[in-house]
Amino acid sequence: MLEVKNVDVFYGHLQAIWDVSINVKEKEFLTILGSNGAGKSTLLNTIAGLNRAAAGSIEYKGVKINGLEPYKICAMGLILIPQGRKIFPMMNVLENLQMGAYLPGPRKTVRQNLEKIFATYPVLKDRSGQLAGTLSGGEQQMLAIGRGLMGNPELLMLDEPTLGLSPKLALDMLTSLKKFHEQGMTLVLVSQETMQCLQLAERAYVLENGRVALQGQCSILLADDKVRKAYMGI
Amino acid sequence: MLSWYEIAHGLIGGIFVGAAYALLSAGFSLTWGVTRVINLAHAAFALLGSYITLTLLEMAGIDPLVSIVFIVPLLFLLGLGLHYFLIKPTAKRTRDITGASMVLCFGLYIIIENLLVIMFKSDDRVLHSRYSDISLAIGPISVALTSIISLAIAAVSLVIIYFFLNRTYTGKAVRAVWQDREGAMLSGINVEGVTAITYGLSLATAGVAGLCLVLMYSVTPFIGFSWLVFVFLVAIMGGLGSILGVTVGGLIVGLIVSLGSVFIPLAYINLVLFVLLIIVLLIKPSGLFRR
Repeated sequence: MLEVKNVDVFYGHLQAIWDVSINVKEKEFLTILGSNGAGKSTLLNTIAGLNRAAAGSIEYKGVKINGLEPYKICAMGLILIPQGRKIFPMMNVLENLQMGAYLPGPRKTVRQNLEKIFATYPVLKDRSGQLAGTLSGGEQQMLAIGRGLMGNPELLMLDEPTLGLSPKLALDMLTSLKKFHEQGMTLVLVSQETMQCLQLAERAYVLENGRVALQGQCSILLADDKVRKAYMGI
Repeated sequence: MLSWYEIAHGLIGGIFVGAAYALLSAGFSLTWGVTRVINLAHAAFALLGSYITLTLLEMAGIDPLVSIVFIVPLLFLLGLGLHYFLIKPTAKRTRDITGASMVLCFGLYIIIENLLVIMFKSDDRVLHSRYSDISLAIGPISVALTSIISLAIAAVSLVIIYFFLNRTYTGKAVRAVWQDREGAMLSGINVEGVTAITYGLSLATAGVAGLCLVLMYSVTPFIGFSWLVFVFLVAIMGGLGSILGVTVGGLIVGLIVSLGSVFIPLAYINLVLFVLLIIVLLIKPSGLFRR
């Protein structure tokens, strides 16, 4: 479904990503792991069109998407929930969700999507008139995901959705992702919660210093001594 | 000796001029907020609206109210042009768009001012329409019909901008781009398109404000600079990002100018305004109406 081939990404003169290739299959739950600065966010931002790939190609559903503007990539059903949420703090919850349905296609399905999102995250319904900037961290993360869902994603990429959440909230968050996957959505999850990600997802890539260091089925990586030592501290 | 009559006159005058300044500042505040561009040429585009009104009336006998139909689309297109041909290419080449745009727009301001001098000479110009020289009595105070028309146009325009920003998808997208540009991109908003619309709207409202001002005052090609001073005051006092703030900020500035001229010599009013601005910046740098 998504095919990233030999991609290099630079920030100014600094190279952040070196010759990275990953692929995501339809209906798959993929996770990308790695320590801080490994290039996980850069990779997702590049796929979503925020960064330019200096070399290599990115294909989504057989169409080359590198170089396309982010909104065009959204329109194809490839949506990123960015790190740091990037919600609109001075707009209320409902308006934030509406913005996620800005494109003509999603604008036709606003009502159904709102119902679905409010069923998954009821707190958003209670707070729909409240300014997004006044929500708690967990609620803001739910809003960011809700906004992404408004755009009818087929492939949803999530960058650190559990960052800054309490363990309990983080677990709830990951559980809700599992539900999306069961409903048929393709997911790419980036997170520091290595253990939980490996248990949730089906397949994983491990990035190290901007390069793919490891890849494979989660069950196999979970059993791997090297992985356990390097990323889980056991 | 001050009379209640003079004070009431000052109050009403302040509302008239304040509403026009509010409308003039709304677009400036929009482009500043959405693109971090400080459009120093904003008042020059308003002046363009004034001269279009004057020219249409003198050359073709077109009613000032009808000239809105010409001003809005023309200035909207100029706004799109400003974005696509000047701001966007500049933004691509610099990291500090705020600084770069100030220099760029200052140059643009001088170009427009000089073009106006070439085309219209530098004399004072007064709009003599069929609304001029008519006064209405509000109690004991007589008010020029042109001032009332100007107030009505400014008020309606501000309400339209408010509804656009708060009730339409495109208007909400303008606010979204303002609050988080990357978040807007990832929501599927065509940020480039929304920015262009913002410039169009900004200059169109500037043009209408120019119409309002020329209904009440005489203009020269050089008056844009003093308008710009007021625009800065209103935008900063009201806080970027709030049409309500701009409206109240405009009224405050208008009232200070108008009431102030009852109490103190006109020459000191700018002093009062800027002392007030410094106080606002010290106490609430985000503006009076920004949370």
